[in-house]
Amino acid sequence: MTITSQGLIRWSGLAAIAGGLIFAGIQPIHPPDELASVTTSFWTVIIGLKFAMCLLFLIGFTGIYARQAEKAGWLGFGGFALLTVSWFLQTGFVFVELFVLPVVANRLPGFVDSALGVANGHPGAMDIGALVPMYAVVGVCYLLGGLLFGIATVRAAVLPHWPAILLAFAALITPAAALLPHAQQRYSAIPMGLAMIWLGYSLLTERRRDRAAGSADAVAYSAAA
Amino acid sequence: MKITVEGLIRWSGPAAVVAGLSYALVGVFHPPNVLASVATPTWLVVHILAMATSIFGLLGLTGIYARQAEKSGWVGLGGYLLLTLWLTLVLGFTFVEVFILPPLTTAAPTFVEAWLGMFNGTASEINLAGLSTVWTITGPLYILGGILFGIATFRARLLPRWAGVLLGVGTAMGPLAALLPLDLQPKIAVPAGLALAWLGYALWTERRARSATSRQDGPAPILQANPAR
Repeated sequence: MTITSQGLIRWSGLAAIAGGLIFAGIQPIHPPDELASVTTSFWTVIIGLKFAMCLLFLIGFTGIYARQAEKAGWLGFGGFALLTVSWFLQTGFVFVELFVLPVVANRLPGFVDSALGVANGHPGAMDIGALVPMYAVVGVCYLLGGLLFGIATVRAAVLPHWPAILLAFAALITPAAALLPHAQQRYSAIPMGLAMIWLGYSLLTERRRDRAAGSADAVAYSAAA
Repeated sequence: MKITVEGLIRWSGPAAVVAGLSYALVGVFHPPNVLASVATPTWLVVHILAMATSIFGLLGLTGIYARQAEKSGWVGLGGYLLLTLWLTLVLGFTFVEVFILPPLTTAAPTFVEAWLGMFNGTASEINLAGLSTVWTITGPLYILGGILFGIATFRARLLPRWAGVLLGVGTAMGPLAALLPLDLQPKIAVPAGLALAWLGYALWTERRARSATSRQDGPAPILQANPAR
């Protein structure tokens, strides 16, 4: 099988689907962000999946963006750049949750409390340097990036507009979720996960759909990608 | 200015240049992996450069790969995926070195020393189990990814072939670091960093070079403008 640009972009849809499934799927079963959780094997499984999700999202967003780059303009580029920064830094945080916190849980409970406090909104007593402002950067880039990327995807009209609207909506409701208790806050990730699954599925199947419809769009797609 | 796929691929060239030069600078200026280094400004700057290597490396490598995806085949895809995974894992390690280790040098020096022990081989009373395994895995990812990507670049004949050779040889030299004294080991990164910067520079300037030599040459198929939309 020969590798083609449009094939690579199409298969990146699979990364978006897998990332979205993990993002939406782990929220109802995510262990609480507290010291007692981090040494359990369930924590390792869930956070391990989250680590894979970060990489899958980086690939998925790149593919979705590449598919519509020319039509999405500067708005799309801005959204893509912000989302890349957000998920890049998020990867660092998840790495710490996965590989560092369990190892130090017994010796440095104060540090683990403070590190988890960055996410659960209960700052610990220990000074953990630049981690707190960095998490704020993740949040702002996630919100603004999702909003811009969603709007640009609607305007580009290359992929279906409903998942793009869902993506922008999911980004927008994230700060509102801060009003909810932490355990409920994480449900705001579900619409984002669903939007990624939907966009990824559209990307993966659009060529087949176009071909089935006998549309000349398939030709345009090949050329554009 | 209108955004085009061709333009995006070209502008990923400077990202690869930044990543490659940052990686080479990390190799040259990396302080010794000892507790006393961690709280120094040099440590912070070098590891911020290492984070820059990861993010700009992911973007730059994607552009270099996109430019030659069709010509570089499965070897190119394999090399690209391995190097992407390597950059992602390295990001995790450097994230800890920038944000976690400095505040812990006084609060938890034993943990910091255990962390540094992964790199300098000193035994520690803290068992970093999974973490050391992941660090061990990054070695083969880097070496195999670099060799495959280098071979694919050489065979694709779109970007300078010698930059591909330098990348392959530069990453293959990784294990030789173990033969060097501890303070010289990071310098093994310099050739691979320069190769990445070279590929990025070639990607950035190739259109200008090509249009200067012959305006007859059409763009490569991957870059063709969309006639229908």
